Amino acid sequence: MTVVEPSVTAAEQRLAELDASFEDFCRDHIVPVERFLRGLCGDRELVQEAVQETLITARDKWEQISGYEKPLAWVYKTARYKLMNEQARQRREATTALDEVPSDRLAAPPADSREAQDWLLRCLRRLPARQAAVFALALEGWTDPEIARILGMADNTVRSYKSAARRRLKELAEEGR
Amino acid sequence: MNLDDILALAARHKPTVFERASASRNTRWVQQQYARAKADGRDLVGDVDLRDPLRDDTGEIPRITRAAQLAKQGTVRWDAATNELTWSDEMSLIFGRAPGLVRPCMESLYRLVHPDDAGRVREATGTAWRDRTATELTCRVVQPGGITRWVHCYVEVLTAADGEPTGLIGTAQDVTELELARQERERRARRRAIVERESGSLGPGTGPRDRTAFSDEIDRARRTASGVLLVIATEPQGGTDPDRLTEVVTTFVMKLARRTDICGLLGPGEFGVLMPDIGLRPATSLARTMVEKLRAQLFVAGPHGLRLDAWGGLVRFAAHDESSSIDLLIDAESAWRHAKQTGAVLKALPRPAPADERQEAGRTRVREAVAGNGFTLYTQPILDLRLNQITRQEILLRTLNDAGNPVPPSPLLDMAEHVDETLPIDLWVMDNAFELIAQGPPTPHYQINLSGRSLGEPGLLGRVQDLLHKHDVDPRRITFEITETARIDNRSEAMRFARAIRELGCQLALDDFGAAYSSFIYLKSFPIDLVKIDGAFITDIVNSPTDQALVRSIVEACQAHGVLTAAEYVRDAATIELLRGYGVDFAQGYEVGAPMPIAGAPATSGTSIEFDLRIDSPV
Repeated sequence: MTVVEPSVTAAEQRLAELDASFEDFCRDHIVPVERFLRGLCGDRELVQEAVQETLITARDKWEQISGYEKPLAWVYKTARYKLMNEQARQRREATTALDEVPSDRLAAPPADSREAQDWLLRCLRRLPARQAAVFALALEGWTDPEIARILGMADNTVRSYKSAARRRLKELAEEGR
Repeated sequence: MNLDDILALAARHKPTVFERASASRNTRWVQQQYARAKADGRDLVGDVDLRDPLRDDTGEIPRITRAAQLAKQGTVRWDAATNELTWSDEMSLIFGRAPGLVRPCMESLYRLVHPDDAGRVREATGTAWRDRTATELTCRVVQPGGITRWVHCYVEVLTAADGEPTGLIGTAQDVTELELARQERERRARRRAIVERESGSLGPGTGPRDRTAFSDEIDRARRTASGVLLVIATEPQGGTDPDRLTEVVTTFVMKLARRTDICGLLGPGEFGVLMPDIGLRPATSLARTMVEKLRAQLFVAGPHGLRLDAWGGLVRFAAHDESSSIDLLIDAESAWRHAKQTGAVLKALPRPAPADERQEAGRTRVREAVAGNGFTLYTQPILDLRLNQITRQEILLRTLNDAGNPVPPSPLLDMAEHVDETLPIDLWVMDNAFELIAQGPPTPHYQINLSGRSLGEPGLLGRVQDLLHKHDVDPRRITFEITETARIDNRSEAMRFARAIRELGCQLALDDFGAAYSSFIYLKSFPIDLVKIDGAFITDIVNSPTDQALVRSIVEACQAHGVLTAAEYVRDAATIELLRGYGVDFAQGYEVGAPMPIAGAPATSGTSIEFDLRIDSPV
């Protein structure tokens, strides 16, 4: 039997529900969102920061955002802009030596599902960033019109990037043979 | 591997325990951060766009424009129906124009792009429109006042609801800093690769140094600390396999030396050991042991064992000693000669010889070598790349060692340069060469070396004229190759000689062009006819894009100045073809022909040619 405390108001109950639904959302999607950004940027810390900031804003406006058709679309879109702005800021402040740029070497052909994911992330980072974003979202099952709206591009662009990305990935897969 | 297989494999990935735990942890962390920010009253939205991207979309143009704003980029849109451009304010700023002032047509856009990039931009937009594909490119835009910026631009095709294309939209951002950083990274990577490759041969490796590298080591050592330079000479040199013998003896000397010592191969049968931070007495005892061990060793190079005779000469130098590396080498070499003459194993000098003493000793050695006909002459064929025919020969000097065998003359010539005594050698060469030229086959042309040092000697012209006349040689068959241009110190005298010798009909060449001090300034100011490109640029040119670039630029510069070019150290047919393609006029090296003794040259004929040594002193 559930005992409802008399002090719990409707507003507080609503808040608790929001908290619970946000936490479920967060737990289910934080990993795929991070993975999406990692296909665009090799700096893990930067990616985590962008995701966390996005989710904090999402939590703040969860009442509104949870009512969206697909709240995850908003998270993908916002996290990507956060990352891009963060990257731009880092480039402006970058004083690190120009000398050392570790080359993101391709590993041998993947043997298990985890290696396959790593391989994919590494290959995506070798593509132009927009192509990588389109391809990663398509893999997650988003439709072309959804991708165009999340990434803010023309419908025709999604189609054209998807096939360009696929072509290049195919080449990379064959190189790794 | 097949891409689809990899993708299918990746899709099968289920979150691991670790990933699930991390997701829970991060979720809690987000909640905590949110609570804290809320308590601090922080604005958690800022410039974030809160609209639902899926439901609130109002079409492509607002979508893309809004996306550009969020990413702080500019847009410019071309409407196919009206052929008009619509610029966002940010885009106008990227082009350095005030918002609202840019001309609204496509051609005007191309005109704002850097002329070298305009073609690419035109092609990219044309292709995007024709093929209905999105594309991206980086180009330069020229702002008013000539300031150039790099801009990265996404070009997308806009489509109407009915699927018909209606125009293009470009999203652009200034990437100048990124582009400069990229170019700088590329340049550094290229530079690093070149330096690593080129220094590989000289590097601080463990092998023996050649004479030049060894001299550098002496100079480095004497600048900072005291030490001892030991030079060991061995005889006989050569044998059936002279290269193998040198290798075996060099290895042996390096094993005898201490680990901190630096070893060099200075000349045929002559080895240098540089011992840093050591006193005269321990160095002398070490050196004596080394020479004695060399004498006791049976070397095997070829079918028979061989015992060597050996002598050592050493000189101790103090830190910051003003004697140069070549001074010290001359002293140590004089010392082993002295040891040999007196039947000793070793002669040790506690300090470098006084400069005047060294100079006198050096001059005496040169004069003795000339008076004793201690030389012979070789020739090496030179291929005319236009005719594919040998049309010239270079006359090469060889010194005869004590056993009467010809060896490379560089140690003696270096010393002669150093003590200002090149003229007697140059005159000996001319006298003997002209005689052989007069008797020899009618090859059209001969090249004879002449030290830059001799060039400034007053009276040189008269002597050359006399010798040409004495042997009745047509001056037009002679080119003088000027070596060691760094040592042309009497410029006006050298220039007078150069002009006059060319009036006689002889030609002038610059040797070792591109290395050391043989620089482009001579093309401009010195009346030369031919430049011999230094062999360092030729030996590996087939595999080296950088050497190719240097040689091409040398040839181009020479052609512009009306100067012929020759390449030395040509070792294979591929090199010849490459050089011919670049417009090089002559090739010389083992592929064309090795240096050969001249029939009838002094040492091989057994008859000595009389040479009057009473040269007027140029004082």
